[in-house]
Amino acid sequence: MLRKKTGEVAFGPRLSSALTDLTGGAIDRRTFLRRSGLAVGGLAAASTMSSGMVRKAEAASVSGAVEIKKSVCTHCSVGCTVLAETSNGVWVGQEPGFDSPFNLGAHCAKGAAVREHAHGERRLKYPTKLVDGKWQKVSWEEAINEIGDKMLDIREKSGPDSVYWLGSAKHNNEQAYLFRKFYAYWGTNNGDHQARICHSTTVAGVANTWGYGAMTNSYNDMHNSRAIFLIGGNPAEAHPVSLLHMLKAKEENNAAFIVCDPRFTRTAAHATEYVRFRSGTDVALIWGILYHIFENSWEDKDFISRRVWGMEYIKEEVAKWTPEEVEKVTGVPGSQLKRVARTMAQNKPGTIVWCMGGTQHTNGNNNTRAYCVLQLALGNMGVSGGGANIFRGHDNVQGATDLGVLMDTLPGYYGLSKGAWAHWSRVWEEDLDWLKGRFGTRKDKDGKDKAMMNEKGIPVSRWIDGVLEAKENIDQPDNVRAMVFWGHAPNSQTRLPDMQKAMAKLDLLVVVDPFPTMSAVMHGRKDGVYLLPATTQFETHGSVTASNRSLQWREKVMDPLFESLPDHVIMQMFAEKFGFADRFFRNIKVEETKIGKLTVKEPSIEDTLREINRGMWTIGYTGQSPERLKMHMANQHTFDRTTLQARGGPADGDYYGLPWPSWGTPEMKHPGTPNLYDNSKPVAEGGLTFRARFGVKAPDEWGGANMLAEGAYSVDSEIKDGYPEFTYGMLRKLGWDGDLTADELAAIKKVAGTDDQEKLDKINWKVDLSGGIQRVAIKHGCAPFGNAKARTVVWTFPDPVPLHREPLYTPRRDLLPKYATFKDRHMHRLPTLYESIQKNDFSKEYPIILTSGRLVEYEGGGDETRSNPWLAELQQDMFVEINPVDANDLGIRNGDTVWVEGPEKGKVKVMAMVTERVGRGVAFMPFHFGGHMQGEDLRANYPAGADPYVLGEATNTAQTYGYDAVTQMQESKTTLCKIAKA
Amino acid sequence: MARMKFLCDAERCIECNACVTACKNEHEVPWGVNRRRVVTINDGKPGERSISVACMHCSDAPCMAVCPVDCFYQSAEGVVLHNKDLCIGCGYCFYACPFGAPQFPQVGNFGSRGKMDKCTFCAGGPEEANSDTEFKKYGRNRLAEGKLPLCAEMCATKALLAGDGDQVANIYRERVVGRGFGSGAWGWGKAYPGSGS
Amino acid sequence: MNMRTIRFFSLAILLGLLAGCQERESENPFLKEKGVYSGKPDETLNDDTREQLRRRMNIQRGGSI
Repeated sequence: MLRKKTGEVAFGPRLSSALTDLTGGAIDRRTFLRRSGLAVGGLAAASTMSSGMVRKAEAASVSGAVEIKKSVCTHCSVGCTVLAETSNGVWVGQEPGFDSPFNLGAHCAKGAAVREHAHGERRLKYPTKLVDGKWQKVSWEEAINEIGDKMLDIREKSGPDSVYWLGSAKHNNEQAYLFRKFYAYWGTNNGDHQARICHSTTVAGVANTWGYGAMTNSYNDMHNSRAIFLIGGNPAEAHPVSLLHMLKAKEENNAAFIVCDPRFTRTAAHATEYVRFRSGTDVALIWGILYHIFENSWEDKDFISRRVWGMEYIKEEVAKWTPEEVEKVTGVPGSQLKRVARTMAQNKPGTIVWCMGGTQHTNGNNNTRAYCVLQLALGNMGVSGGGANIFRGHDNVQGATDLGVLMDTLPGYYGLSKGAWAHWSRVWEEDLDWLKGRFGTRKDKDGKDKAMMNEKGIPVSRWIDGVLEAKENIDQPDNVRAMVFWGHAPNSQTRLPDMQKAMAKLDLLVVVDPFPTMSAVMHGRKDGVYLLPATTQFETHGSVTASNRSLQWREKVMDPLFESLPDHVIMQMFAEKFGFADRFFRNIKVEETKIGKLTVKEPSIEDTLREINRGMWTIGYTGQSPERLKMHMANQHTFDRTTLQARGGPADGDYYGLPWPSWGTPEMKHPGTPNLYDNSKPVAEGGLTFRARFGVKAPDEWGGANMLAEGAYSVDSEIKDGYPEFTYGMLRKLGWDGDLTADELAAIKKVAGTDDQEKLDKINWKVDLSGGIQRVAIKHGCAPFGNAKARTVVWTFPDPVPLHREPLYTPRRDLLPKYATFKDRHMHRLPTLYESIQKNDFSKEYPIILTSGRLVEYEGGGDETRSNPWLAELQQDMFVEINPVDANDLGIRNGDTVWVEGPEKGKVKVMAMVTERVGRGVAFMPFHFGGHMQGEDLRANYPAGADPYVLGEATNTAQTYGYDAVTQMQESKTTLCKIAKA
Repeated sequence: MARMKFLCDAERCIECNACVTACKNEHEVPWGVNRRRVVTINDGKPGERSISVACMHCSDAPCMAVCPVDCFYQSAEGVVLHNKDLCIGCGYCFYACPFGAPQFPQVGNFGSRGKMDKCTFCAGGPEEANSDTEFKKYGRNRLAEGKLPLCAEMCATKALLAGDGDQVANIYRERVVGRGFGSGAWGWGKAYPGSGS
Repeated sequence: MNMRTIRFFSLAILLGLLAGCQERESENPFLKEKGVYSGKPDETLNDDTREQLRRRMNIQRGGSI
């Protein structure tokens, strides 16, 4: 048995005795792994190793000089520096990047194994198409032409919205931005990426609370925390290097380390307090903690009165959550939550960390807002050591989100309004009417034509319904007919059996990826599938945004392997095929270059970043020029490892990676903002206020009170109170308009398109392409986006005050009358079901709660990491964790093969791991496996030599329907299942 | 210089396996051979702790004592190394080692490296430092390049320390003082008797 | 084949085998003293490298970490 998580005692009494110094007891499970090296991956290993070693040996014998290239790990959002040793273009060694303030040389299993990319044995090696059920090699030219012709045909017959462009958090910032721009030029908003199913509920919830949707502080800033409150996150496996920073606080500050999770994770193993609660009851848990805080007057009243609006509505709701009620719903005793509340109140500053365990729920946006409210009540926001440290997953999911690879916004969260399109077409110097003409229209109920340009697209979580739903139920001219997976694993999405049907129904399925991914093997098609090999980020260069909003610059480590091409080169090819390449790249240099045997046109990454800098005023992606980022990378050692600020050297005063917002133009040299909303510093030096985003006054039905800050402002602010966001008109009123240069004023007039004073006055800090309004506001110590209160009530959301609502597939029917889910809704072009699912009782037949999560060795859908033998060897079998009580009741023993079936009848055949890690009545499966489908091994369906070493069932085959009521985040953390011996 | 030592701080180890893949990466160790592994005790229960284990380069190494062909030697830095040309693959060392360090590759894909394989403290073996031959038989020789074992240098939480034993002990002691407790320098009593762990 | 031929060939083979037993043909030592490593000696580190290792060890302390 090769599964890592089991492993019998291989070394018997001797090792046990050695371990006794540590434990005073014998080891039980999980000692040394027993390996035969023959089964599963072993069959693959023999051939692979030899060539890998030969290559290394060849390289080792090369007398050529060793060059060091600096890149950034592509596996999570911590942003660990990777030092690659290359010799004659071959990546021969990897050294610890000790100078990086983020990782100080440290890596996890994935980061320490990235050099395997240089072998790339299991990569997709050349463009491939499916002909009569067989994979056939084709040239790039052929592939682009055939795909392009088919898409143009679909466009002609069904409109541009029938092609879905699914982007990626694996793109660098420049590629992500070009991708977003690309589907705008194609003429659709049907584009999205992993953020939808990762932190979309965070972005929506958090941005609607205090202005921006990002992690507020940084991993490093947690050195200052005196309490760390983790909920729904397992960073020991998902962000291992973050533990370097958290354990420092735990050890040196004696910080409380509180972990709330239905599963006793590897992070929980290091907790000072572990709270096991029922999956999907986060709001109840948080209100249960706040109950004690309010009851004992532990809240920060001064902070609340100056910087928070609406806490009285929260108090009203929280009062209902007595310790008894909380225990009934969450399963956590009141005494424990009182202890947690006291710990948080007595140990400030404290930070809160959450991940997918909080976000991936039908009421995910309620969860994220409840977490924010907890921090606001404690006064932990806008302080070093506090904040909402929301760990992003993928290496560039923050960047791709910022750059708008979403179905509901243009880059920089500008949205899809007319003003937003006008802004971006000014940045692109594009004819707005031409752009409009690229989009389709549809007849609305009132018979009027509606421009699809301003309509939110279909979220990635629902693309399958865009294919399968009856045409008349979808708010677009026709169904989705072509699907492009440009760096996205299908097995990270729920309802895989439905996805299989959708894939079969498509006219065209295109995968652009370094690996074939499960998309290549699960569709059941005979033709109409194309696989295009993209490079990894180690074969190109560009910037990447870490979770803390810092941008880092990656150097190219090696030339593209095989026939693969960088994503931006592939985009150029498609842009040319569709006839808009010239307009698209009008401000970006495109150079002819040779990659392998191919002559291609490569758009300049640096120019692309400069175009980003010219447009992203909302979130301050404007100061991070390529030159500044490269300078930071070259001077990593000059940055403090706690504050992230450079002390001396060329970057003196800057924060590492210019964490956004880095206001104004690069010439303004704003140092970046290390901690959002921290008003203890001037805005010019990285200080900030809460953003004035929700008007100056609350709506009348919510009391109509002042929404601006009261008596709170950032250091050196010339306005000693709250103020709204800056416009040209406001500058005039304040008498600061004279500070604008003539060029800035001219630019503002150009944006207004008129000299008319009234129109001119409305030009604000977000659309002023000169950055002058921002510069002047900051000169006077003010935040361009205003100074307001954070709000605890989001009156535009389905639940303005966050409420607990039972999951669609709940095991607790007794709680339903009180905590039922939403009514069915129609949103994002599609009908979305809530109560019509919840009203059926599945809990008798499917009594066990099913949840999912990460393993340290793998990432995402796992195609890349399961193709890396150094990682694959460590986790060879897909498994389900079952509590011993349940296992005994079901007659299942550790290591048995079992069927796990979800209430929508999707089922997976996996190995049972009997463990107390999960509570009674709970089962857990990791989500990185793929390549098996409902008991069937699909290895034979991969193109020859491109099958990952390790395959397994995807948990999402058994995972079910359920989407957040605001963002359509998928529910993959709470459903039901039944388990039976296979 | 005092002898080289490994130390794994179980309070810090999060079982991320970076040490394992760093080792694979640095020495191109093939599938099925594990010079370093992470062991977890009380898996999934309160008290769960993990330790990264490899050859500890014991001061009085049992493997050396039992080897019938005396293929082991200890370097001036106290690193326990072996000569694959002498090794007959009998497996005695495996039975003698309290840490389960010696590995015996399956016949076939690793035959070229031969015989027993184990952690070298990134110090290669009895061949010219960083020659092709040394790399093929023993892996990289980082010590000769003035670098310490990659597993420790890449450890996610700086739980695994490797280097001059006195310095290792100092760093660990500072940490224990800082946090007010320590669960012991794991394995030190066995590997380095009298070292005062 | 007569006896003499057989003897001649036997002798030739025997000589050939003996020739293959020369010490330089084998990496293994012939005579062993129990407990003493008698294989190829390894190179030792020079003082500069040792000093470098000592300095490098401090990085594992992790700066401010």
